[in-house]
Amino acid sequence: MNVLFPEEAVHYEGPMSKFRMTADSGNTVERGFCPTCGAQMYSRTVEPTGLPMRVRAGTLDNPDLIAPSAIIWAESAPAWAKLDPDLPHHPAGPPAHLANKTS
Amino acid sequence: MSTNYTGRCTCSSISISIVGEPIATRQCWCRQCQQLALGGPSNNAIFKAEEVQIQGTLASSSWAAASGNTLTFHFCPSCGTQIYAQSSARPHLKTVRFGAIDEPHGLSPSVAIWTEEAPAWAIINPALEQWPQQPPAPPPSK
Repeated sequence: MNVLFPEEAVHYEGPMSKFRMTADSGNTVERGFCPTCGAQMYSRTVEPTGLPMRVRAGTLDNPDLIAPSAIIWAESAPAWAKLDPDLPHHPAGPPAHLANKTS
Repeated sequence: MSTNYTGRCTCSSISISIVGEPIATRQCWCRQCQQLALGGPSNNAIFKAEEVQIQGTLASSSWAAASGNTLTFHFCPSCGTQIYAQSSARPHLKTVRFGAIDEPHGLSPSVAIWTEEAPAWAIINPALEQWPQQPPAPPPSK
């Protein structure tokens, strides 16, 4: 569950472990997590540049504030996953207009 | 006994080998699990501790869980992937995170717990047995 913000709008305090990988999208992404508890804090696309930062909803003080508005990579979901039928489902990564959406 | 399940973290520093079958599978919506599980629930398979073998060096942290027990959770220090947790009340069990078990594992959650802490937008399968808080403990290891 991710909430998208422009990268410059998000500030973290405290030590952050960072892990870079090639995501299923083919993009190079950096995942930040707490070195003490492992909680994932964000995912950020390193290459290509300019995409919004994905803040992990579970780390927000009030996850009720923002509900998901789209489901991506739906084809990778396990068969038992219950996906909200009222949301748009994208089988793989988000279409460009969503990927770049920061509000 | 033969290996029934294998698994690994995102960066493959940690690998898992499990003999036996889970004694329970659960989806947990407690706030602490939402923090570890990126905002969704944790999905877990509970095995007898001795049936779960881990290779690689794990980091761990612990907290007082919503149930009142001390929950120690183990994760990969290189990529942060959560691997398993263990409750002070049930040291004979290991609660393995679905996401760390190789697909296709064929497991699915059979119970949703701590549903009262789920966000308003959460979709919880109505076919699952549901508990607003902690359910009764699973049966002791034989």
